[in-house]
Amino acid sequence: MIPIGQDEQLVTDQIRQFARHSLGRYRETPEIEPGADDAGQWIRECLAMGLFDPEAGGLWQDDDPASRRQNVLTLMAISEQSPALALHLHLQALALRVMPAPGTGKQVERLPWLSFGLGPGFPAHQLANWQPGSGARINPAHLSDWWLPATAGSALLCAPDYWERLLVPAMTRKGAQWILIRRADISQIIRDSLQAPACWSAWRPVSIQQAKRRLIAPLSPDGYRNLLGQAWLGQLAIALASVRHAADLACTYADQRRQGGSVIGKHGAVQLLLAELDRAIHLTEPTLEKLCQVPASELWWQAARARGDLHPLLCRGVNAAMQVFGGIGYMRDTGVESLVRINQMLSCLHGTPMTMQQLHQQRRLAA
Amino acid sequence: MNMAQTQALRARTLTGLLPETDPLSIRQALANAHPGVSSLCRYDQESLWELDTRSLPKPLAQWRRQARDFAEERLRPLAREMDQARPAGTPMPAELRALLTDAGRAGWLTDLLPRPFGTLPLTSTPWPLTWMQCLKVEEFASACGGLMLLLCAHGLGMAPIVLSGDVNAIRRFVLPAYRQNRRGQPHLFAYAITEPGGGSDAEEGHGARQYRPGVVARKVAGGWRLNGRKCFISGGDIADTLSVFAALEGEGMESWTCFVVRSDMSGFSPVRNELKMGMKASSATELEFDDVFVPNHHVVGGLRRGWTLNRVTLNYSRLPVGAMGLGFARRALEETIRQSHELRTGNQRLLDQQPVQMGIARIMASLRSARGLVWQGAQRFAPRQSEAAMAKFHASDVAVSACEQAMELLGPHALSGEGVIGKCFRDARLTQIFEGTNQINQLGVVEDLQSILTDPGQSPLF
Ligand SMILES: Cc1cc2nc3c(=O)[nH]c(=O)nc-3n(C[C@H](O)[C@H](O)[C@H](O)COP(=O)(O)OP(=O)(O)OC[C@H]3O[C@@H](n4cnc5c(N)ncnc54)[C@H](O)[C@@H]3O)c2cc1C
Repeated sequence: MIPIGQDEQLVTDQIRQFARHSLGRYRETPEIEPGADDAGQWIRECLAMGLFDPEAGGLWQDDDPASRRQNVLTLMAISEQSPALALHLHLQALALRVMPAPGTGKQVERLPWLSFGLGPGFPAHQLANWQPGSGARINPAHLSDWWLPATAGSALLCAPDYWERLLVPAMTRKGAQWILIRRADISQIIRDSLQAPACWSAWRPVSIQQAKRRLIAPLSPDGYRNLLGQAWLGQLAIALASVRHAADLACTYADQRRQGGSVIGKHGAVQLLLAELDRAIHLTEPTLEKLCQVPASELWWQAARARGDLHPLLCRGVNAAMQVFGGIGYMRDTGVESLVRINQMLSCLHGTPMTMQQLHQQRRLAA
Repeated sequence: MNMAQTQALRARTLTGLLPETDPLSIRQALANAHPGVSSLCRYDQESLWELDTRSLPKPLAQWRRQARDFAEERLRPLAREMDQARPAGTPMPAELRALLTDAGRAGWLTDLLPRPFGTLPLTSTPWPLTWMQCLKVEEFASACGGLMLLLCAHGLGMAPIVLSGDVNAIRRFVLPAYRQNRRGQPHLFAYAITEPGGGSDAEEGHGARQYRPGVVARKVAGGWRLNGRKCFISGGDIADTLSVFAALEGEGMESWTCFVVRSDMSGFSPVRNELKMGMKASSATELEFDDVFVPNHHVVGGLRRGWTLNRVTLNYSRLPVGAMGLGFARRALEETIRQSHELRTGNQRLLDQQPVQMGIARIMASLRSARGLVWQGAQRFAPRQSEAAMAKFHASDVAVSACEQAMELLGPHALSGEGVIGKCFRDARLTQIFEGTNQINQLGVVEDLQSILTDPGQSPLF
């Protein structure tokens, strides 16, 4: 089996070209962080490429092993240049699976954004454990109303700067539902910095209860888990690609920079750092490959286990890459420090490694 | 017990633990025990910070409290707003200038020398200066890494002059700056050893032996002309005076000499400020020396004495870098505890969950073990290289790992909100890189103990 990182066949030339040219460009000017407008432009280009188009085999439109593999490779190709954008596209594409509204494939503004959200009654990772009727891990106090609280509290939506319509899971009087909220209808949103690379933010909807909401579809536990599984799989793939990119940068630098009388790659200390990177990549690649093959019903827990094990390794790996650069690694110029930041985010978004491990064990014990 | 009391007790009781009123709780058990027994086991709810502070000699305890007060009042409120890069050549924001003025008046920019020359309390002189610096740095770092570096890189810049023991240089450069700072007119110093071609090579002997220096001093009548570039110099854009290390023309690193350069000297310019991951309130600046004339009396500690002075300075400064790590780890811990009170998943506070409780305990333990290491090294008047290096790399690793654990416990909440933990992580990450990367510091331990390690027959070794 070809390791997932090396199979370029499944990624179209168009996507590769987009990733290298449109996204690669902003790497050359580290003093300019891409903002919401750039993100809007990129999404427009992705729309033009049919990345969200069901007919053209757009991202996450199908869930057979071959499509899964293609999705993973597409996300990785984009992530090598911009993990933030890859995450962006990934979650938008998943939203389109829930809400394949006609016309959404044409206009950027019409694309919904999927946020699993983080609310007191309905945190994303707990939903994976949700059984209808049991309500076991959901705060009953929140069953009676929208889970997003009226106060700033702990509700947190992680989304790119660029979003107009938000699709969130919610517990309503009619049971669990997907609901759609328009940004324009939320009167007060606090934008928080996630300290992640450009285009990503955290949003605290202060008064979401007053916002107009549209019920989109009922939310079944199985469908929800499957979606979570895909979200987690994509997230891991995006992290892997970003770490592979960091590894390329670090190896090139280790081969050029001279200190201690030789290129630094010759020093045992630097070799250990590179080994840390290598380990993370080599353990993640086959796992991703395997995840592409598992039956849909098992994807969520297998992905949870993989995320729990591998994100910490990937974070450590990308940190090691930064250390290879010494002082310059701390600066925006090399691009490595932003990979460190986004990996921290990828690691804890939609459930932290600790939660992932617990989820997996809970499932095992229940079985 | 009335309703309110019951509720208060419930709020104080974590899931999985007994309420303090339960006869089997340790508090009740000790309350009912024979005084002889209860005196053998402490169960008070005093903060560990207080406990540590009270264990310090009195003048140091007082100093620690003062540093904490200043950090809370002046640094913490500015932390978020000042967390942004400043291009070289742009004026310093008014808030930073005001902070420097206040810090100067309060004596935090003049504390390398005891009174009446500086502001170190005379009562503290029986204890090492490094210990005092470590206590201050931890408090400042816990409030804001960038502002801490802004204030403390100044001390590093001045350190080689003070440590040289060159009374004339101290009188000429340090004391006038001290007077200015005390008057509320900030006069900052910076420390410049790193060059584009040599970072680690400026920090360890084996590399230095093979390194061709980038900043070179040429002898001219009455002084020296400096040419070349230094990079990543903390506070280099706002410093009035810089301790610049340069080799003499035609010679290697063994000729390194410390020159005092004034920022208004012709040919000197801060070329650019880096865009950093963290500690943004303090700039990292690339400096250009274009035939800068430096008079003979600006040589500190003698010609060709720079390498020694540099190594001695690093020994003193690596312990405070360890203390920065303590500050970041502490802040991450405090923030984790605060947020895990407020955040709930399902119907539980995060703090009620066993993995969170255990995570907090682990961060606490590693923070306290690192503090032990830093304080132990700092208790020597002449810090040992191995101890300083160990404290630096261990405490900085602890800091980064504490932030990572905090993120794991809190999820994206750790990265948002006030962004405290995300910022702590970005700030803490620098402590693994500067004052010698942690790899170079690990090798520094071995360098220091070389003769012991190569003679394992000696016993006991450690
Ligand atoms: C924000 C910031 C502020 C700073 N402030 C100052 C300041 O005020 N004054 C100042 O003079 N400097 C300052 N520095 C510079 C800092 O001390 C150096 O960056 C640090 O010493 C590392 O040097 P380098 O960046 O050249 O990395 P390099 O030396 O190029 O190291 C690259 C990698 O190689 C490894 N390596 C290098 N040599 C060896 C060896 N012999 N054996 C094994 N491994 C090796 C390192 O561990 C690292 O992983 C600052 C740096 C930063 C980032």
